[in-house]
Amino acid sequence: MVENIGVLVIFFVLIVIAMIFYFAFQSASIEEKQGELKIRNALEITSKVSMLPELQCRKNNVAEAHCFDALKIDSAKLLFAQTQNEDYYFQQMGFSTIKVKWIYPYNDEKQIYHKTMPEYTNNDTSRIPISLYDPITNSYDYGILEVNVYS
Amino acid sequence: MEKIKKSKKGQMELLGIAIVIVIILVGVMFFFLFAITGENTSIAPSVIRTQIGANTINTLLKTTTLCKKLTISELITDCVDGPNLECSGKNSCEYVKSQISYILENTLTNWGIDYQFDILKQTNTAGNEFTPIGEMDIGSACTSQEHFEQLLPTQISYAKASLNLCN
Repeated sequence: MVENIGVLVIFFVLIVIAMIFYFAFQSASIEEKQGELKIRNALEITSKVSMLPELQCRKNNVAEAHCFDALKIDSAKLLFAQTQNEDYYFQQMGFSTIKVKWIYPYNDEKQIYHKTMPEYTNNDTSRIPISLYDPITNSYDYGILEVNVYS
Repeated sequence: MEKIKKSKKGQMELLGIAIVIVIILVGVMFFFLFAITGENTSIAPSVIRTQIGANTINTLLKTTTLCKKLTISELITDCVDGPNLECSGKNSCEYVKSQISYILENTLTNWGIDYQFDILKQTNTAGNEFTPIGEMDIGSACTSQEHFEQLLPTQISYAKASLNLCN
């Protein structure tokens, strides 16, 4: 009888050790997934912003991919900040800071959207190269769209 | 007789423990096998790299330079065909190389991404053989990489702009 109980105790102890290992591994994997979801969210916002008609350049009424019209940037910034549009753009861009940076032929930077999450614990930055088209000079500058997402 | 019975019972119990231990060991082996060789399902970093690589080459070639308002792709085609143009005291090859280096250093290098940028020239008009123009090599050679390229028609043949993002 005592021997049987001993066997069962050892058996359950081993099962408990296995479960501890399993849950420790699972929690690490959940953290990894959370991190990936945050990166995906930043990517999603970057893609959405790069295709916003409020910013996108057009030639003969055809939208150009990954290209911002330099003349639209200031008016888009005002549009994003207007109280009546706040909810709509918050749904699109969430808690984030969005900047357009000029790399070539000169360096400059414009912040087009900013909404910080109160007491955020994490921020992920996503960047993609974009063309910045100046319709007055008909030239394309090299720029970056930088999206910083708070969570 | 009783001694034999007791010894048989003891042997059975030991066999039971051995089976339990074997089952647990098999479980642990499977766990580690999946934990170690389990496929990394994270696709976000590779999507980011692909987006950066594709956008870098597309945006770069479209960019207007300060040399006669020509784009980088126009300067590359001149470099491959000639070079005939002169910009700030340099021929088109030297000039476009310096402009591309500046852009890539201020983006990819700053983001910690190693890269290799090359301009390739078509060597035979019939086939699709391209050889790199040695002097246009920017960045460091990669052992493994993600490759992006764009074909550029020149007046004589074709050129290729090639970007490798090192892993």
